[in-house]
Amino acid sequence: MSKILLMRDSIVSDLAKNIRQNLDRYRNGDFELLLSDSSNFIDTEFDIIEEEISKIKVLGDELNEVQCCLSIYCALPGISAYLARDQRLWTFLTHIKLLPYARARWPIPDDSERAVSHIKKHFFAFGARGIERDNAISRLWWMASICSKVEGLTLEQSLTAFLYQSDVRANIVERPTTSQNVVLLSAVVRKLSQSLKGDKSLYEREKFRSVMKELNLQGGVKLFEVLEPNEVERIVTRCATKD
Amino acid sequence: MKFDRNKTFPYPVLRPFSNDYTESEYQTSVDFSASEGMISLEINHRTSSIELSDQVKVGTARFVSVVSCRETYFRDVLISEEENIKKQFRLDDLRGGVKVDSYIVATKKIPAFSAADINHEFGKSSFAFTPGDVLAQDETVVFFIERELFKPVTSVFDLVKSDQLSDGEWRINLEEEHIQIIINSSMKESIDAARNNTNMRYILLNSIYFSAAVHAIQRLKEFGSDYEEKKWGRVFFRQIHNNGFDLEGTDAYLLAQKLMKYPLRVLNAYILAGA
Repeated sequence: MSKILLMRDSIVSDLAKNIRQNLDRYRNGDFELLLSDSSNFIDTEFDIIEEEISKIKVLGDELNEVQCCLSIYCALPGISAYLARDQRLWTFLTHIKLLPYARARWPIPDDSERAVSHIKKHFFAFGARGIERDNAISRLWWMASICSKVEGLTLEQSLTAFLYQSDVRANIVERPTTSQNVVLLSAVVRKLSQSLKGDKSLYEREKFRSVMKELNLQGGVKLFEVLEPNEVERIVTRCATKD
Repeated sequence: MKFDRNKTFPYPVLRPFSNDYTESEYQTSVDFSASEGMISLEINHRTSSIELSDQVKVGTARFVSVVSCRETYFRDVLISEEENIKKQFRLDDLRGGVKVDSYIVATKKIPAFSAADINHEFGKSSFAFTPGDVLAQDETVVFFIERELFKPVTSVFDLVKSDQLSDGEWRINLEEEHIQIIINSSMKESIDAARNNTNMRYILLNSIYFSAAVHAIQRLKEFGSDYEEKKWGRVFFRQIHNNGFDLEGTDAYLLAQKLMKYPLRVLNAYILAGA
């Protein structure tokens, strides 16, 4: 077991400025050299479970996203949401601990120009989108974190329902009213899980968008937060079955 | 539920910028403080509507505040019959913008609500509410949480050496995550040594750090959006916001004094007064 390190801001900044010069390292090498100088990092009290880290891998053509989400969430036990918004954590992981996974999951284009912007997007974690959607590792942790709040399903079940279709996932994440409200999020993901086991109709792009739109309308005049969970469930069911 | 001054509800809702009620008002105040890894929040709900207050008293409505943080997906709902609500949150759960949305909400069926000052344009004098219906809503209050926001602004200043500069000459670079004060090697050695002495620190605070802060604030006033994504820019913007200071309407040197908590005071107390 080792400890989580945060890459110093100045190192993150240097790496971001020197992507082009480091292209070979991103493609075939590593950044282990940075570890030889401890002043490049800030220690934290949090453990990394190496056994879980080793499970984070792409399996041939299979992206293995559910397992990767589960593993990164288990690999970093006890980290706070505050720390999970820190680009220094994710840059450390994509450059040191999980560089082989990052380049397998997000293959670096041959064209140098495209490679630079691709690396900046998936190997760094700048801004909210960078952390939630683009960084090869942070996106896995945040998806697991959101799904860990779902009540009535295991984390694996909710991740399976949540990750089945990217448009559905984006629709949930981009609507804070749904993604932050545990009762509402749980009701929606449970409905998705049921649909996944059945005809998968809720995953149809237009269908799911209209459900979310309807929920948005309902939430515009009623404060879901004060309703009983069974009432929220009823509203979600009504929206999901409305033609 | 976002506060939107242009939104219309199918029933009267007591809100700022709305004439659903012709006389009554609903206002909230939000205060927060941080200590030992916790954020203490105190929210005060006030309404001049006797009819709405009565609904809270009889238990059919409640004062509700939703505290949410987009960056951490945190959300907590504070429901009370008391006007004053206090709650502590872990600093670990919050980062960036924290919103407080406050309401008076029906928590039980209200079959026939009426109030003397409901706008006649609604065309009826009595309204039925079901649980979850919003009776009053205030504007969203936003404050910012980041550990650096509770430290002196000088925590985002770095001394950087450049031997292209002559002795005594210095530059400021605002293009990195921290504000860089660039000096030559011998000056850096002197300043690094001086920073270990409290009195010397006060002198530095009132000289290069203060000047650097004034320069940074001036740039924020002129080209603010260029620096929003830099850590120092976020810290300055958010400390200005959280403290209720006015970036546009205040001269940079005055704002620097406020953000640095009037550094001349410590110079006077520990050095000038004893001279």
